[in-house]
Amino acid sequence: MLKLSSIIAIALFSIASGSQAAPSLLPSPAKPDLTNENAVNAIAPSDPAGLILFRESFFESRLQGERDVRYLSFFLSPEQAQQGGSLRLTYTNAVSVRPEDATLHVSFNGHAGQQFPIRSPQGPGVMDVKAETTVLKPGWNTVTLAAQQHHRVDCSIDATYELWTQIDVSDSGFLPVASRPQDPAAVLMSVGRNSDGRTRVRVLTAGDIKAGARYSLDAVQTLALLLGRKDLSVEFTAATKDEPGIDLIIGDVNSNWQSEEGQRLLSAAPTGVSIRSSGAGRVQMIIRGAGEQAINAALLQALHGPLKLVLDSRHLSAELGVLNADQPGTYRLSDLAYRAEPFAGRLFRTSFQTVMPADFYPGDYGAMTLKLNAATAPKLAPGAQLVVRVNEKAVTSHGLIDPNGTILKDKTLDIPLRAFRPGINTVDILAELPKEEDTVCDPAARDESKPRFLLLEETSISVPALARAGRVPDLAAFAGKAYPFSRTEKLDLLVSAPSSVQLGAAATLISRLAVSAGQPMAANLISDQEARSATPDRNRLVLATAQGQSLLKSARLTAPSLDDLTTASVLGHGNTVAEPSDPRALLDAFQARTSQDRDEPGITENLITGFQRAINVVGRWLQYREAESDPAPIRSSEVLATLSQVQSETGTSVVTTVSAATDAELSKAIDHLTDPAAWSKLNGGSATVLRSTGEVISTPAGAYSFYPLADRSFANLRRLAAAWLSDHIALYAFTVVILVSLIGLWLGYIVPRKGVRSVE
Amino acid sequence: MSARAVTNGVDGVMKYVSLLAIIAGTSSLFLLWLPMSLQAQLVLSLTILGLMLLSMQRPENKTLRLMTFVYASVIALRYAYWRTTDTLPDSSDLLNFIPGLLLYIAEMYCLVMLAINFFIVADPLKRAAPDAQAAADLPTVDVFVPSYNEAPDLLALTLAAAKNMNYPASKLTVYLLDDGGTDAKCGHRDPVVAHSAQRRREELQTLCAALGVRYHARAENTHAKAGNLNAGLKISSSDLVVVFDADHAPVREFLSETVGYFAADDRLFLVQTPHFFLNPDPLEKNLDTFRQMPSENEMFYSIVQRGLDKWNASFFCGSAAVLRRAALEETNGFQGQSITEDCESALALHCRGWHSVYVDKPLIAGLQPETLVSFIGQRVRWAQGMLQILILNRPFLQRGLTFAQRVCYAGTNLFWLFPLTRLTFMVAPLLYIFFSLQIFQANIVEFVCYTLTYLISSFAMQNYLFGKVRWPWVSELYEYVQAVMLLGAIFSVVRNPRKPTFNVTAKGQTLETSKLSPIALPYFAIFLLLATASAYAIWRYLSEPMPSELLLIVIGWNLINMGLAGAALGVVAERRERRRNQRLSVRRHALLHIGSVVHTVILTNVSSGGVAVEFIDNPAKAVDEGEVCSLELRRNGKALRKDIVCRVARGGPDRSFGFAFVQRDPETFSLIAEIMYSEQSFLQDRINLRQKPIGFFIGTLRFSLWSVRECMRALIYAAGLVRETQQTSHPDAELLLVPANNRARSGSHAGFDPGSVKEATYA
Repeated sequence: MLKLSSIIAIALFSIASGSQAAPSLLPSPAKPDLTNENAVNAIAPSDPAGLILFRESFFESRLQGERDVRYLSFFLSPEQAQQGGSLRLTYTNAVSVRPEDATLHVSFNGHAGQQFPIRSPQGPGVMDVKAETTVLKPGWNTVTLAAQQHHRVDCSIDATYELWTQIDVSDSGFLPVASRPQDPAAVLMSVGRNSDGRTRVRVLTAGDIKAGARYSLDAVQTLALLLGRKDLSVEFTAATKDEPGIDLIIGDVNSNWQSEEGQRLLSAAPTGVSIRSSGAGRVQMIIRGAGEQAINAALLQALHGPLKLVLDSRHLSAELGVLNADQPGTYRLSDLAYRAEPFAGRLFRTSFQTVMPADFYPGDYGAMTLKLNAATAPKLAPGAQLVVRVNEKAVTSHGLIDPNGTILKDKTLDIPLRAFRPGINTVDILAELPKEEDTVCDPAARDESKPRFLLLEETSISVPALARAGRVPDLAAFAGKAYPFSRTEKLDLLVSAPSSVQLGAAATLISRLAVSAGQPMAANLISDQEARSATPDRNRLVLATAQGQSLLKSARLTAPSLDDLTTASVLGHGNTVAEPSDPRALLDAFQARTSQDRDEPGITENLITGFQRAINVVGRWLQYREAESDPAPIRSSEVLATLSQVQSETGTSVVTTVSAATDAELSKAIDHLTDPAAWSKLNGGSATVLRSTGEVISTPAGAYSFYPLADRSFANLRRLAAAWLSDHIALYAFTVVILVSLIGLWLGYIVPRKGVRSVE
Repeated sequence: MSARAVTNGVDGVMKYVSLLAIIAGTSSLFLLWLPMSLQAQLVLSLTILGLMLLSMQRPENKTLRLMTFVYASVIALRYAYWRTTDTLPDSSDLLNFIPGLLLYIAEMYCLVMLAINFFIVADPLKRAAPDAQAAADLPTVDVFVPSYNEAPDLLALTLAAAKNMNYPASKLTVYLLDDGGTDAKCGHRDPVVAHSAQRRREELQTLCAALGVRYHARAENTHAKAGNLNAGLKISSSDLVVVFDADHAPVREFLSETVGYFAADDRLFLVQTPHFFLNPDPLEKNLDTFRQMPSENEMFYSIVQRGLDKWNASFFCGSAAVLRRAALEETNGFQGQSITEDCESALALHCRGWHSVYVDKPLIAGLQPETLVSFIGQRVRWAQGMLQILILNRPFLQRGLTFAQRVCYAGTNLFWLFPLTRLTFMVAPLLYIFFSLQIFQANIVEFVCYTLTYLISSFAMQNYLFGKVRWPWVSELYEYVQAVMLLGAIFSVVRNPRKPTFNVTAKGQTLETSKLSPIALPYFAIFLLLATASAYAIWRYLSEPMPSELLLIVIGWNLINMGLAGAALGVVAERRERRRNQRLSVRRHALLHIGSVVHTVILTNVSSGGVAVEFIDNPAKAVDEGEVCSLELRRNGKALRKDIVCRVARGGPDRSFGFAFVQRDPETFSLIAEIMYSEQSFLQDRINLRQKPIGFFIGTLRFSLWSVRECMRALIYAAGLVRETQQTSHPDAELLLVPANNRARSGSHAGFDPGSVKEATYA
């Protein structure tokens, strides 16, 4: 029988998993505490039962800088679209935003929109925007939010980084006129977010929880894909809760995993899928069927029936601002939803997402080419430049100084492929546009009629042919594309102990992977006994606690996947503290504390220091390390959990492991890992979740191996060779030296014997 | 095991080794043409550079030499790959793309020439001297001295030296092939031209008669030098033909060092020897480098021709060579399609399977053009002739040549496109400085990883291969000086390959005062342009708020160009040259008769005007200025004696005295030839004295000093501020030629048979 996940995958096959909104690249202010009672009280009460929340997460709903655009989406049933309603935006803006001229332009589905002031620095404020029925449509709708905001007192470039407006995605969305939707899809999409900004799915189970989990994995993934939310969190619980979220009840009254409440609800529900609203952002979804076949059939029927519109309309809104780099090609910014407009501020920014294939191999064998078409105003001050950043790292720049202004026509800037990683990448085009007059700052005298910069829509980006070879470990591919898991090959999902907490964590993780892949994973939850006898060629996703290690060892997992608890951190991230016993850290600390007592260094000392610094810089550069990326050790007590990936002993499959000390810590760590902000930054060979801050620190892989190649063409092999050898410079140089020396020796023998011979 | 079996075994092993090398080569190319990261490129370049410098430490080891070449090739290949794939401007941006492409083509041309050069000088040949032959077995030899308008005294020395060569007199015939006294010229409608030609013919016939040389003037001046030589072939019949330019006087050993090779190889058509010059060329003269720096042609004759010889591709250079008549007859004599008949003739015979030999010993001494105008005229002829061959003969596609010969000839001809590349390199930075055209897309890190390592490798290789014969930056200077004037000539020959005509290079010229060359203006204009560009670029760098790192590189590049242009100003600011006769240092024993006293002396240097003398017996009073003495030389039991007058009597420990010949008749020139060209080692010593490498850094420093100093001197000349003392110099004694009929009457030259040629009736 065809597994449900496969059927759903076919339905979703062409749907990309990307979000429309580019995540922030700028320094993030602290996440507003939206659970704060004062803050909640400050907002106008909404009707939670009627509010249809945006699909995008908190992380994706932030407007930054002087001008920023975000695309948010929500679902409407035909009836809701026909009756219209209003958009409710609950937001908070930075204190530094000047209220007199900060505006938010709101438009629906590309229609002309309206402009509103941004004036809520003290706490969440509400903005209601009436939506005419003419601008709405059944299915997924897109709201474009374009913010323009300026600093109150500071006209410097740096000050523009302090400007932000955060949309509270738990209390923002569309308020339809029809407050009690009848359409099951509309009911489902009206699910609210929890106080922590997450969408909860509560699977009612008791007794044989593991069986319940096994039966509900497909349904949970389907829900994740239908909702499209990246903040989904799954828990297995015996009873429904009085808080926003989806209560999912699966099975039959006789199912051995059903709780008492579950049995009661099932007995009252018809066979098949039934969805109903319980008010206050709560949705109840019941899939009644005796056995796996019946459950799957019911779900399929719903997907082809009442929920069909969700799937059908999703791809129409999914591609805004997203560049799919799977194949070589050239894309204009206009193709990426960019609309040219003269910019009168100091820091221009536009962003788009680039989705790299899961088996993309980053390297210097090629570059994306940005052909810039732009114009600058006369008299820009020194420092005016255009910077391209990829995943928050500046990769190239171009000076914009010209006393008379300049017009850039197809100015080529190379964006190295090494800056990208598999999955979603964010590309920022920033233009820093200072003028001399900014030094005498008078925000009130701002003249918006005198633009400083214009980036034309004709600006294009060309994607070269990529080196394609999946690597292990590669957490970026794992997070961005759920690599190496796929809909066609089953993966074994192992938990060290089948507790509700661990199973909830596993379901959360698998549903997040489904969203990344844009299709459900063919996950096979197996027991310890099954793990021992399972085929070793299958990819595995393992969630383990210290207690469960015997199980995992019996499942022939390699030790490093479990023992890799002490890993490195990145300087500047969080408040990681060096081990007192770490000699280097101790020495650094000692020198820092005693530096004031030292005499002024002499010329020789300065020269030596300068030379050492230069050597260090070159050394780092040769290892492709950023200046600030020196890893510092993390205290073992600071480690909450680790995520790591290794190839199996047989070399034919991959084992991805999340390990923590206890169930509670594992659950907490999964929440941190699947937080959209952290998830999008996963890369390297392993990741560590810090106990104190919940921050996720990625660590580069020391070594990696290739997964079987899909593209064996000479061109791809050549690109791969270039990429791999660029990562193994010594080997490259050594091989070339040996080969050419052999040729030299051969020539040294053959040439004197060719032609006329010399007299010795 | 038999020797044959061993040989077969070795061959078998070598096949496998060669197969392994081919695999290694293919793999290397694959690896070198990978789009690697800059980090990998830097590590590879530095590793290879290190190995290259290490292997350069044993230049005599052939294996290490070839490995050095391979290492340098690795860096060049990486550079070429990067330059091709990463640095060209977008083709849609024509303003940048077109000049960018031209610069790219210029660079690729240089890389192709580098590859060809590596091939040519892979293993410069060292030849053993030929076996000595019994006099009876020696072939007969005809010596051709083609002439057009050279002065009789210049010809007298060459003819006397040719007659003086060690060879059986019965087997050696010397011909003066005079194109200045052809029937057509003697009968020219312009009476002045006709009279001059007739007078020249008479004089030279008299000279030839006195020296025992056959004079020949043909009816018309068709096909220039080649036609003249072919006319000589028609009136002669010896087995071998020797060609000497009018100013190329041979040493006595010339034939004994060359003729023997013909006996060893029946298919040998050519034995070429180097051209050694007694005087500086304009660059050497005006930069005052002649005494210390190797001459320009030494790179060609000391290394390149030996390299060509390895591949049986050394070619005829128009003079100082021996050729087999039988071979020439196969091609109906010397080729005259191009104006470089020498190379063209060699190409034709190589195509027919004939062999060539190059003897790396200076066996003749000649003159270089003294003035820049005549120097440029000579180079225009060479460049046009070589390009004619490239276009009309297409050496790379010629049938009958081996692959190696094709490469060698293609390289030799292609070399003459250098003016295009040199001027491209001069102009390219200006496009960025003045117009901000970005014709080379690279940042400073890429520049360091690729261009800088490539430049270091190039300079190191240049020093390694040619350091002994060419100081740093001198090649570039020669190229630039010629490029400015050759550009038009190149376009002309490309437009119409059959148009260029043979122009005789003027030699033996003097310059009474120091002054700017008549063709100096473009050099000043270019220098001013480069200086302005440098100043503007530096101003841009200092004043622009965010100066591009590329600008810094371009400034450096332009400053180097400016240095070249500055030194070139020194070349076009010509120092006066009043020396009519070029001296050669010798050590020759002689007797000096002062009155009735005979002193044993050493002749320390000699020219066609006089000699310098050192007394061995250290007399209390030697000779006073103005006093006439008699110089006596003895050879083979025969005494040669001529009167000389003391011009300089210097006291001091060296007691050096300068004498001039009282009169210069043909016998005097026989005496001079005997002194100057009695030993090949005199020429070799002078070469050895100069062929000393000075290293890149000292060379660069010295060149920088030239740039500043010579630029200042040129500006002084331009401002008309030359201050030179007027010195009187004694003129050379006139060439005294007594017509044959007078001499016969006087009986002063009894026993001399001038020979009979048809044209003698015109005398």
